[in-house]
Amino acid sequence: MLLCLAGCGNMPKDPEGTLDRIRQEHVIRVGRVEGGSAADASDWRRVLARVEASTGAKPVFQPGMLEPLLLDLEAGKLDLVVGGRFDEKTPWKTRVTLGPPIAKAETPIGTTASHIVARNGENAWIMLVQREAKAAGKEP
Amino acid sequence: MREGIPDQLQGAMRRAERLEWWSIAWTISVIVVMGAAMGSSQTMKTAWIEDCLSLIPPAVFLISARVERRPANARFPNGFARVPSLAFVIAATALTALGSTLLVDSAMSLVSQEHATVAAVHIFGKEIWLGWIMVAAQVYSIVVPVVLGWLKLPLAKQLNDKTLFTDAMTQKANWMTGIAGIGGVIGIRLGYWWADAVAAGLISLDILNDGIRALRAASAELVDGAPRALDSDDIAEDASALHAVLDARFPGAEIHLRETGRVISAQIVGATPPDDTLDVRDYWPGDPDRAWRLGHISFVPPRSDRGDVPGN
Repeated sequence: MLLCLAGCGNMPKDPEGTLDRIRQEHVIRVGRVEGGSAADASDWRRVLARVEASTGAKPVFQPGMLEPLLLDLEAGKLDLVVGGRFDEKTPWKTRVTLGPPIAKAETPIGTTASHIVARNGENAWIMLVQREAKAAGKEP
Repeated sequence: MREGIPDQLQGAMRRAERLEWWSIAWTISVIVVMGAAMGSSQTMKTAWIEDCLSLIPPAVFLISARVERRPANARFPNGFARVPSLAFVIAATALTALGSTLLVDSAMSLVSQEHATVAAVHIFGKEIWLGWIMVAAQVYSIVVPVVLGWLKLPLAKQLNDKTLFTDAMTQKANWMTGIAGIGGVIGIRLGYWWADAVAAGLISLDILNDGIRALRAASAELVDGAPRALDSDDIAEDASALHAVLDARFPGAEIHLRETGRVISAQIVGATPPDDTLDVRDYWPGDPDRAWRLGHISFVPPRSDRGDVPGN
């Protein structure tokens, strides 16, 4: 009965209404980390293209450095941050939601991975982005 | 009372010990299931910590039951009848710590406006919202403590065992947290980020209340206060009745009752024993089957140096 009260269906709602707004305004506010590698850019562009197709929205890019962009994301001024590389133990893991790793780089001192980052708690939006990231990873 | 657990309670005590072993096994299974489904939900984390801490009362009960059976020796001439009192303090402290931790945790996540991310998992190639997995884990975490708590309560009353009773209260806290957890997850599903932390906070207040009440009763027992009821800090009803009987039989004497583990010890100050031998059961006012509750009566004769004796 509780489940029925909660409403059937698989998708949660976004507390700040990110996915609804993107679908209504057809705009995705994307923070793009400057100075990223071309290989990483090609990976996140493939994911973003799928997200665009799925929502009918176009990205509006805000270039910048990683941490200021993450702060904007946390404050709700951005919907995604792309092009950032993170260590597995990054403290940002609790403050923002890192999508599945889309490109890993092994170095002698550790592993970093490129992630598409979303604001915490926007669960419907996060589910959509993560679904498209996974699907893009399976593309030939 | 020097020989540990009274004979009449041996059967019930063995049942309680078996139940506590089962309790530990089931609680570990709940910890594993909840840990696997935890995600970043505050209520889930709260419930998981609570499940971990709820291992303390059954473990303490089992240790104390073992020690309580040991015979008195030269180093412990009074035996180990007070071990359940010590176990009760530990269990009560665990319950209080549990409530406080959860309250602070949920208040902090509410103040810092933490939005729990609960995304999807893929099971057999199908995308499922992790929230539904959390709800399923919470349902399991409710059923186990409901059954265990229901089995433990009558045994705790029969044995007058406050550790077992506190353990049953911890089980109650567990299933209540489970229900709050489901509420929190459904709140997230509906887009209410605060539902998670509020649910955890409300439940932690109830747990803290139970813990403080148990801690007050446990402290009273340690400082030789009058015997307390199992479920509150009030004086136990059977102790009040005993006090009245002893008052009537020894007018003018001071009656000091205290609880030594599960049994009551009575000290009658300013009176001498009426006979050379005494049967404590003759003084027990209630159900004769519960006469084991009165473990010991001692007398302190009137003191001439304090002028208790007329003419001195």
